[in-house]
Amino acid sequence: MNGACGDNHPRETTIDRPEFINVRIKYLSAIRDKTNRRREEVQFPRGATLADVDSWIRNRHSLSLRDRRIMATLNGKGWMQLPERIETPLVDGDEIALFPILSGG
Amino acid sequence: MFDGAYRGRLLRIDLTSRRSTIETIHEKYIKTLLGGRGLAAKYYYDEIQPDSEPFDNTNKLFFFTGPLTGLPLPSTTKFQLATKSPETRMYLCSNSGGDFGPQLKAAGFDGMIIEGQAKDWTYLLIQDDKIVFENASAWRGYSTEQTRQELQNALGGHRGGVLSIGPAAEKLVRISYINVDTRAFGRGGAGAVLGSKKLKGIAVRGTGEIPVADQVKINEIRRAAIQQLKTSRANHTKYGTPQYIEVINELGCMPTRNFQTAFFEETDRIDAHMMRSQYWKKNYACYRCPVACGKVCVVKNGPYKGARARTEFETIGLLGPNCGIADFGAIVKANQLCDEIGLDTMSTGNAVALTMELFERGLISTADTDGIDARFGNAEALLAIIELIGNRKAIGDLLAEGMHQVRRQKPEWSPYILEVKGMPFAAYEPRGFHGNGLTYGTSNRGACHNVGGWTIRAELQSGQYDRYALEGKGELVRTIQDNRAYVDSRGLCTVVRGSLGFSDNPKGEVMKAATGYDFMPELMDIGARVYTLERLILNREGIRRRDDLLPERITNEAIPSGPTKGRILTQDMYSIMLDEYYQARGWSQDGVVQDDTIERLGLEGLVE
Repeated sequence: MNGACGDNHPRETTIDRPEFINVRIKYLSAIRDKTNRRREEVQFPRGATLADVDSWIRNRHSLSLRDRRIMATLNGKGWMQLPERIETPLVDGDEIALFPILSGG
Repeated sequence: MFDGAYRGRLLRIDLTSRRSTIETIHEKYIKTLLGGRGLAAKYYYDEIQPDSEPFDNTNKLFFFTGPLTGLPLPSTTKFQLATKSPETRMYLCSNSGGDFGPQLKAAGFDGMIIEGQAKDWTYLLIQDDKIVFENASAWRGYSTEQTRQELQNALGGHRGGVLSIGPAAEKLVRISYINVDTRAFGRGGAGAVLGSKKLKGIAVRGTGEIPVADQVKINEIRRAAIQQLKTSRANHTKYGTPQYIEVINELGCMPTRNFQTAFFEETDRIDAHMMRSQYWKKNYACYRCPVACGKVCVVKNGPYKGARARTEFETIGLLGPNCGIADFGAIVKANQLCDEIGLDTMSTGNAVALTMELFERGLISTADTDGIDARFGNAEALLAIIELIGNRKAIGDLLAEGMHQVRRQKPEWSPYILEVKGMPFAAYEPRGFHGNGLTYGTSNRGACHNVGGWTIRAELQSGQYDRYALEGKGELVRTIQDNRAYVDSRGLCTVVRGSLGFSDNPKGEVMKAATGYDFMPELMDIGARVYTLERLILNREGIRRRDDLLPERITNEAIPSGPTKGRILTQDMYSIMLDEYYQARGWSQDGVVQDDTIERLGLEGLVE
């Protein structure tokens, strides 16, 4: 798995390889303070799931999609609402966003 | 029955006769409605006739603290207001922080009713049981802040709580707010009710101790809550509500150019990180609040250098992206202008956005805007239109009447008007969270995300409700509304409620320690009772299903761009949620509270 790119950097051009998928991970609002970047483009092996992303983020940023203080979405939907939840398989071009739990404005 | 928290007294002030009386509050009302919003609704129900007009001298303002207001717990700052709204022309409930609520209770009162109409401009000084009426004619035209300072001075240097209105309220602009120690009763135009009564402001100072039933337990709860808030609300302390700007935009729910779309391309320039790094001056905290979520912003350079305001998410969203504005300095300036004149930033943002869309569509011209090039993104136009509203000039005179009147006077503009029951939208796009659409439709004061029930967390995180699902949203919205209704009746800020166990499965230890009375397991029932009492008021004022529907843009137009592109909430989709909601509430399919629901909720003796 490759991680690359952050604030003010050109996005790393990922090489299309059939055995990998490209996933964009966004770090929004106060989560950005922990990652020091807005987003990353990451390649995962085809067949990877949200659980793999969770492992990758844990290792890289000590954050977890499963943390109740954090909200995480896959293509705009909360991962807990997906039928396969954390085992949801990913496809090329998926977008994951992490942000602090919301409580009204 | 109560060993603490309540004072059991109500101060009634008649501006016509310049007299005040003190009344006892029935214990039964407190037991069944808790305080705050519940008691305000009860007194409104009893004393405001359905045909009473907002600016009639028959209209009144009902201010009520909750049992926790002023207690030595985190952020026990809140108190509630009910009145006939100038903006929506129906029942209005509103809540505010600041020092006024705690000071009123320290003065010995759980509530205060303002009625009648002063002959000349007046201000009130309340120092414990001493009530003084003073002439405020010299303060006409003063901003909310100037008035606040004058009232603070009138307390002779003692710290107190202060309500004040600005020049917009004097001109009966129907989207005027009441300033409360620089917090606000923001929505619904309550400032104009004070204006109609020629009451420029009130200062209160209480020197009494507010008793609590179990001081040791309260101290223990306070220490634990403060400790928890240090971590659970750390983001509020650092960023305040502007932390939502980036998130709501990424979720495709940012009102943009009068809700024409739901994604704003330039949020980098107005988000919480920009605020914190370029504009943040200091934090502001309400009474006893360790979170201090208020962010005082100051513009340090550029055309708006020196502008200063405490800018919140809703204000940024509606004066910013919804008007096409990506200049944070301009938003701060617009916020400050609204504050000084005394305009609700949320309704004002909607009014400016409507003006800009009408202008761009050629439906109005510079002849209507006093020569302003009212295009989206024009910061000078934003400021100028705010002035037009505050001064009731050109199109501002119509906008000052509120969306209720705009729609009636200009029905051809309906496709561009975003409101429910006359109250313009909050800064969340309901096509992106369908539960939020039901929130706007069924909120007891119009399109409000607070009273109506803030669903977004549940629609993303609960594991039960997909944001675009329809089934289950009726029950979800009912639950959140009832939760909010009892929270608003207690006198505690919603930001800290989790630290004291006030969820939709509440813990009762705080209430027991404060009052000596065990309100459990009835807190959620009290919430349902309060919400239904408010709906009974609305039914009496003519509100039915037709009034709970969403505007055309939401039901007829799909979002054209961004993460929620293609999403729509059609009338048929919405009706599925609304039917389920009425069923969950025990209301008829026309939105009328049924007799068996009145009985089930124990409202019979309260609504004879």
